[in-house]
Amino acid sequence: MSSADQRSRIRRRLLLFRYPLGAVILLLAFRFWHLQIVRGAEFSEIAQDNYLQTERRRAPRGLVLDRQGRILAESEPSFALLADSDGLRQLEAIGQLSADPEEMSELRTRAARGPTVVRSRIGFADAAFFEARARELSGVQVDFVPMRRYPLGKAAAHLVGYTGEVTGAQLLLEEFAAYAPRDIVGQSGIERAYNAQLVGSDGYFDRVVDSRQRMLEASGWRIEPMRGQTLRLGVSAAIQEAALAAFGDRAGAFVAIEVGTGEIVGLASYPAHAPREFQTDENAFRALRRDPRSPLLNRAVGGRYPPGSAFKLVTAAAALAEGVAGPDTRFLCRGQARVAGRTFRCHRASGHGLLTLREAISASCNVFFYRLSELLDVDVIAAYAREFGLGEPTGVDLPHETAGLVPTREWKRRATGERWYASETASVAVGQGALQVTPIQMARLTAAFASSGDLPAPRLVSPARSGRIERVSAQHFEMIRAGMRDAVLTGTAWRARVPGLTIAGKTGTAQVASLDRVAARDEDRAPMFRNHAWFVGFAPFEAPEVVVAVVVEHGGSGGAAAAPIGRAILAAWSTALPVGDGELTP
Amino acid sequence: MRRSSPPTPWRLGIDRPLLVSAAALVLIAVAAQVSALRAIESSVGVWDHLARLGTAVVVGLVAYRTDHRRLARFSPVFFLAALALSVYANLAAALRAGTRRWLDFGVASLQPGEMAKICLVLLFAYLIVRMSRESLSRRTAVSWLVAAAALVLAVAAQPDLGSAAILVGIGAGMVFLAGLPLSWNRIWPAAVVTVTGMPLLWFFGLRDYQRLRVLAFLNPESDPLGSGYQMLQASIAVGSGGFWGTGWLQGSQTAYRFLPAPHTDFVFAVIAEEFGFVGVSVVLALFWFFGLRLLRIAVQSADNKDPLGALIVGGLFCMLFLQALYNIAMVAGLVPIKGFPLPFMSYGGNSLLITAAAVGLAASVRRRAFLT
Repeated sequence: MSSADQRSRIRRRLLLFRYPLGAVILLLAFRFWHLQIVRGAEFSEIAQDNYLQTERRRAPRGLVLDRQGRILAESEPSFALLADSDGLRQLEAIGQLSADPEEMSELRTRAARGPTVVRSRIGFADAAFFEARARELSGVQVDFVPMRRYPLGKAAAHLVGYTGEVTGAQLLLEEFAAYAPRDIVGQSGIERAYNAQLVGSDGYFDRVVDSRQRMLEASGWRIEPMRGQTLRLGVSAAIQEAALAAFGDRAGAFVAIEVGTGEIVGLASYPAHAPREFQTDENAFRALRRDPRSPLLNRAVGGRYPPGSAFKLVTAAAALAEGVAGPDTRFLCRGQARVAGRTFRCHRASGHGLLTLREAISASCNVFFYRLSELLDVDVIAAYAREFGLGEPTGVDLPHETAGLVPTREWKRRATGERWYASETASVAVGQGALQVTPIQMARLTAAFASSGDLPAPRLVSPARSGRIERVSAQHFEMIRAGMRDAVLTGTAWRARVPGLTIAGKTGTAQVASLDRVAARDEDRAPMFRNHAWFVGFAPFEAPEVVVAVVVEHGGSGGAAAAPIGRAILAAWSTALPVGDGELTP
Repeated sequence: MRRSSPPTPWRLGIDRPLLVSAAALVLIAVAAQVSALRAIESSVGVWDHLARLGTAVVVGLVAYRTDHRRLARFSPVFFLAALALSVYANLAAALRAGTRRWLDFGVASLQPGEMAKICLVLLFAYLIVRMSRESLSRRTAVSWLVAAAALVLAVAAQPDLGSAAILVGIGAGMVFLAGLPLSWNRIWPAAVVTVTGMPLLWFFGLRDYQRLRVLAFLNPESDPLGSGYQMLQASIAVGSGGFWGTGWLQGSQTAYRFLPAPHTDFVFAVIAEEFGFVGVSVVLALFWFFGLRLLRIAVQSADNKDPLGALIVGGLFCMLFLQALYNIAMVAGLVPIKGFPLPFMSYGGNSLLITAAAVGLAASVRRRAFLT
């Protein structure tokens, strides 16, 4: 091979190299054109998703205030520790996790699906500890979570309610359509009823993160969070606290409402739970659900009790309005009476002697009302009971209200297939038998008596009058009120007397078990067979402003157990809000 | 030094377009380095890069002042030294654990793979010229080929499969330039079909999971998902640059460290992100121009009866452009990730020094072709 040959071959082949060079460079240019021009917008978006992390910041829920501005519910800043699977390992490595294997395996399952709450409500110091180690603990994040605080605790537990994670069942409802799993919503009480107003709107915060999800800088709010509305209630914290003190550890409920407006000034159910405990603690919540004393039940609106003698107000109103009794009607009480072939006892074995209606209300004489029952059909009594709002929900703005039961002939035929017996009418006339009422129904009913027929719609927020009872005249109401005043002055409700306040009321002692099955004396019975104690009352007698209904479960006699509580609540109302105070704004 | 003419001014015969295009690439790279080094918060900053550039310029000047014919005569020595270093690197690393690409000399570390490339270019050019003059026995030539294969194996075992492949590519390219035996001319079209057909098969013939398998086979030491992530992030960086780019220091993929190795293997992605399609086009055009210029020098040398210079510059062309085009294709997501630095642009002393030596040598060959 000659040198010239070789050189010309090298020359030719060198020139050949231009083609692959140009082809590859053009191919690359085409590829970059495709990536940058054709798909540029798409990749820009992905790049932004890479470094801009939008984080939801929960809006603090609104305040709930009592009528004087005392806080019933507020949000306080709190931090939660979240971790994914990597984060759990990192926390374990530095010994920041509990050693409970069962708890750990549950955590791991949840963390595998995404960041999960490892510890809720950590303090500022702990939050700072984890934030400072954000680089090593890349799988761990500290989240700002506004927590709910309820300064009144047990004193207003059912009234204010509590919040919790939205449940799977709730997410299917229209009301919760805008929520996602793990969102916090009101689950009970005011928190539930006014969730939409209290919840506010969450904010969205952009932050710039690097490839290892470490925050480099805050970018700013995409949407700022809006705190929920402040709810100002007519409820008085002072009344709530007085009632809790008066009840002690007995079970029961009370409802106090303003006569004119129906605004609820106090409402509680016992036993109460401390609302904060299970905001995030599912175990505490489960324990409460299993508690045989049903601390989660709001007895004030959801508890069904026979009203006992407190129902005599309705029987009396029916008798007066139907004209079967008047101011001068008298019946003789010998301690017992035979009605429709059955013997009924009065609570005073020696008898009350000859009484008027007013005296019978004061003394709570059963025989008098047995006699009236002989003159009234059960359906007539039921009609009046319904007129006073029994047997239907009051429409209060709290969840889980129950209707109670007002028995009629028709009801009995349908429920048991049997006909109505006249002796049963006697039971209903004194608030026994199948009759079942809720404390809030009794408070509403009492307000109608106090106002001569205005039946309010009891509400915590924006109260309104709901109806007027026309069948019963003002004179009849006045007569019954006089009996109620006498009951406090000289009758069964004497324990409700308090200096400086004219209280009128009616006690009730509702039998739980039939007398042939339990001991005659209430005190001799097992607690669960003891009578429910009732007191309904209002004050001031001359110009009624507030009514209260109290029930003490298995508390014994209404006069002994419930009347003192009613007195304490009314007294608290009068000291917290002097009579005639014009500043009673909701 | 054997000179046919009296000393000429060093500026005479210098290839300005070649040097200007190289300098432009380097300057664009410096801008990208500022952005990349800032993002990775490296302890060594852009001043370090500039210092290496300074060293590289000195090396380039030395190469420029060196007679390539004299250099070629020493190439067997250089080659054996490179082979010895590569073997030594393997032995040294056998005692420690880890990768053997670097030889640490305290002040500076050396990559035998990088050095070996330029030594191979010189050796092959020297051997081919001597063979054509019949002054080399077939037997000696074969033994040198065996030595070259040993070098490839030593580099591959470091493991630096990328450099080994480049070495094979350089050797193949130079043998092709020199002219293969006739029977090989039948293999040549088949090789072209294979080389061009593989990418087509890769993109249109294989499903994703098959590609992953191939990648895992080609790249067993790296996690395929990990390299998939890097490739994706590079594509995002490139794509988000758009037409004009995000602007200097404004690329989020670079600044927030989503882009892997932004200062070394993926420096071209930084350019693509921050300077957009415009910047990409400029850099591609500069490379293209530079490549054509190299080929022109080689052709001129061949015309001037300097087959040695032609073969050296042709070999340097293969060396630089195999790496550059693979690197850019990798950034474009067209080929699997391999750790090739981008000549002129990547951070790193060895690559810069070799590139500078190559440019200096090419300019030197050109100067001599121009002066004769």
